[in-house]
Amino acid sequence: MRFLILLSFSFWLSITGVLAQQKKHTISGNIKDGKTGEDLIGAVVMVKGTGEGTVTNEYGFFSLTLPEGTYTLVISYLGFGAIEKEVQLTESIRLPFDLLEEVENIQVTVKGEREDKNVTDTKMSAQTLTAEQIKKLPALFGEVDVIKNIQTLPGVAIAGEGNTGLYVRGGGSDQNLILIDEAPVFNASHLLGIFSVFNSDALKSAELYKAGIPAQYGGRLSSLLDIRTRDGNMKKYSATGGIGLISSRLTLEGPIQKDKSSFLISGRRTYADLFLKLSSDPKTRNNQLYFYDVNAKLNFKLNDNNRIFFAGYFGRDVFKFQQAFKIAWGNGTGTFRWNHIFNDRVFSNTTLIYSSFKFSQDLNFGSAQAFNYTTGLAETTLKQDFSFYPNTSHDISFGVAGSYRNYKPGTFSPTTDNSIFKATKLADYNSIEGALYLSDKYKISHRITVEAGLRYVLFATVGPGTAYTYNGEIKKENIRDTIHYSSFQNVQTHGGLEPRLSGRYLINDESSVKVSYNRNYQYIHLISNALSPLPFNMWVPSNQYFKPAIADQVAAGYFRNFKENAFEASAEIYYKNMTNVLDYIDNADLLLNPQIETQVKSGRAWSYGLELFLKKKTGKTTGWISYTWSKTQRQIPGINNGETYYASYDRRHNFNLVVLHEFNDRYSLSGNFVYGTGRPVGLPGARFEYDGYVGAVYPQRNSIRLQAYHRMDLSFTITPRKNKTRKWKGSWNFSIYNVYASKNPWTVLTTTNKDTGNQELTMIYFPAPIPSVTYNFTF
Amino acid sequence: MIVTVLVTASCTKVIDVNLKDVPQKTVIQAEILIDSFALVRVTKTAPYLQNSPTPIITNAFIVISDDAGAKDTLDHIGNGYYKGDIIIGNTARVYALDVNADGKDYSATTTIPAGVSFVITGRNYVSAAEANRFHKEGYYPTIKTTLPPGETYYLFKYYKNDTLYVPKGNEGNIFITDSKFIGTEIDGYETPYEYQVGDVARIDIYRITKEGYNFLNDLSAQLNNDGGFFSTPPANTSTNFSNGAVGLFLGGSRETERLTIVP
Repeated sequence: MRFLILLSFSFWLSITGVLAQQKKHTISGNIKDGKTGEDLIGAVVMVKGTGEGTVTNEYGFFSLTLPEGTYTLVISYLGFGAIEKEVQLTESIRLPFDLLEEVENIQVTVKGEREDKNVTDTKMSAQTLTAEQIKKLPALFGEVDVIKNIQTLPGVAIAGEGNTGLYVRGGGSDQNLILIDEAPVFNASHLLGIFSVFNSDALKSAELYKAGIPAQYGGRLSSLLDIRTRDGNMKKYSATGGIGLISSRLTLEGPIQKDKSSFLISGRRTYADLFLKLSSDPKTRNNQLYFYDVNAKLNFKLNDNNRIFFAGYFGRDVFKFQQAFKIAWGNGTGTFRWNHIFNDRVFSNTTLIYSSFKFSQDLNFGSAQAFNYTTGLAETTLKQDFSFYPNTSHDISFGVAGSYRNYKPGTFSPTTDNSIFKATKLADYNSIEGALYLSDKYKISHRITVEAGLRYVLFATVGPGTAYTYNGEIKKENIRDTIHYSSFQNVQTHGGLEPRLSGRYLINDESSVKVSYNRNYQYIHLISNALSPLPFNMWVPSNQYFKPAIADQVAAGYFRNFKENAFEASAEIYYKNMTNVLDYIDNADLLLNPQIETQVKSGRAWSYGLELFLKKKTGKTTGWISYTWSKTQRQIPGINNGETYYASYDRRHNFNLVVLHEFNDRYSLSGNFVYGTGRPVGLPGARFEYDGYVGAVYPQRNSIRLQAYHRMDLSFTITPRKNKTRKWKGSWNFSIYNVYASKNPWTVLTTTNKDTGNQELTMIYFPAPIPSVTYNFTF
Repeated sequence: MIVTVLVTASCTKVIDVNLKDVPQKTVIQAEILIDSFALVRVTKTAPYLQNSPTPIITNAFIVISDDAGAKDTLDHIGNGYYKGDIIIGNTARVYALDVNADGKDYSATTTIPAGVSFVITGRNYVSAAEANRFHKEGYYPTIKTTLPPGETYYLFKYYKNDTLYVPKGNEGNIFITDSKFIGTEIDGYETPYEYQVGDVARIDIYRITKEGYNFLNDLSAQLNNDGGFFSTPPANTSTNFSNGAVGLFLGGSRETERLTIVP
């Protein structure tokens, strides 16, 4: 409560302070791509000669409050021409919208985002990719994958082959808040991790925060990946797509009512398995391995002050092997948003979000041995966010959010009449959550900017549900009592304050120093003790046994641009401490276990590292080099004899090189090289014999390192000349994954040699190189 | 299972890794079955990749005793095996096993759960057209039984012409189950292995203790481990022995049925 009072007090203080100042007026508006009507996120509005300026928010809106006078505004956005506009500010005005199109047509020099953003922004440990940049990233299997590209950034460790899990600054793959149009995505992988769920054709921007996560967001310890889809072309109908060996995709968009409303629908399907249908073997024809997904968006501009959006995502993966087994999983999300401009300085966004994840597995080994297993969770959130721009020194945002989640830890059912299995269902978990936040970006002077935010979350696990109490240690043998909770009866409440602080000191026009401190709480826990995000995947809320995990992170960095901002460089160091992190006891029994708390222990994890980044932004050759040195360890009482051990995704060195070269307007080549220290695994030190079987004795957890991981991919794009004159524009993309066929261990098995009977270690690796061809088009 | 499919689809290569040494441990494989004498084997662990056989201990001192005061000293009968000749397994008793090997004492206790009788009701035939990788062409004997209520644990062994069906080593399967997901009336449960006309299918069903199930379940997890990618991280087996020995003192009842496959 004290926090609430403090929050409202500081807020009113800042507003009244503003109102008492001299006569000022506000310039506000939306910045759009003049060609498509698409709002541009993060476009820069600068007041020439003053150093004052702002950027557009997630909905393309900006607001600048200045004293009366005449100003020249410079508006720029990556890949578009910067424009200048003179304004006489005698009253508050709303600027006309389609600014960038006119200039682009008259071929003004194409400039980037605010060129020195790397240095001047208070944001650190963050990376933004715009639609234009995403399009230019190296394509693998014929498609650009945002997550794969994010894995090449400093501080993000690769998990290995075929894994789109993100391991950010020592965080696990369940510690990332991945949002698509504000809706959380609980599992971002397709096709056992070869693709991510994000179809790049539908994306407008992707922004990754490794630290300095805005107070508006919370709920995960390690990162925020904020992905926004495009709104759809407001001016004309268009189609974009690609036909490839592995998958095809198509996006259709256009105005419903010109300049007022638009739609976008985008779909993908892989069809590797359709080729199996051509097989002469009927059993092979029966195998399935595919995914599909659909993104859809509608947006309506009701009037200058009101706008609504509907966005949805639905995707499914199916992996079926003959009649023996089938697994299927997928996410579904839906978002409704209402943007309302209260006045020139106050922007409001109301969001209603639904997101769900489902997983199901069918096994059938003879009619008596057939069953189905399902698990999943669903979330509904209502959010109210405000942006308030009192003057050029302050950018204030605040808001509230409430969520309800339902977790289905597992349902097991026989699928034939004579199945030996009996139906078993674990009781659902339910939770409600309320969040409140306030954040202010305060420009103290030309050199110093501070962003301070505070987030408070109250989280409660509620009924209906079942819980167990124990005598002494939490073990199945020690169960004392079973408690049943009725609907919305409080089981356990948790909560806490999450301060977020970052500051920037501008040394000169080309360099700055930034520092940040972050506290994040995580109230939902992924129970999956395998490295792969599949197949076993179950979420549980914080309750009387699982305390919320807490991460405290400090980071500092030096940012420097060279050669008139053509090169961006940064060096960052961080230390992150995480408490109440979960790990699993040896031989944990997680499947349909109603006392899951007996299989899990909690303790501390910590990570520290150095991240170096150099990016070349302009010219025919662009790209980046990133290097990360980091160490991630855990110490959990009851696991590994209470001794410290390495997290299974700990890699000491990570190196990435991404290069894109445009030879001319017809040919472009891109490539990337990845190197990572081998990940730690558990391999046996000794063997024993029991009844003819060879058992193993393991040393400490994760005490052996696999060989280093390295790989190079190439992607070559040919754009025919005739494109220029035609409406139909096509291009060919040829890509090779793992060009030099590096044998990277995907996993290592202990095996017995069939001839000698001796024990061996067998590495499994993906076949390589994997070539792919895709024809991309737009009309 | 996913791994089985992916192994088929991917490439494999035997690699050389410097494994961590772990201290050598005593391994005890001990069982007392209903109506039988105790049988124990004592060996030691060996470095994982060396092809030397696991060392056998032939001079251990082993005593089995029950809660009625009976004692039986086991005699070495060769190849590290020790056998009793006084105490015969009985569901009413609690048994304690004391092993002294290389100057260290190890002990464990067990009970013997009552056996569950079953019948082989017939066999299902899977034709070549219906067969798949996990369900090959052939005849699959079917089992009918009624399980006792409560949490119970079982071990299955399948023989073809009185030879244990699968090669063991590191890749063999251990067929165990608990009653967690299984109904009490079982009718039509198929053997996991196929038989052909003329084969004698023999099925042994052991009802075992919880400790026995846990150990065999952990051992099975080791055999099927994929390095922690899809499976749980590899871990040591649990044991009911004290003092750091590896192994199990298993108590159980065995029921056996046979079926000669005819077309």
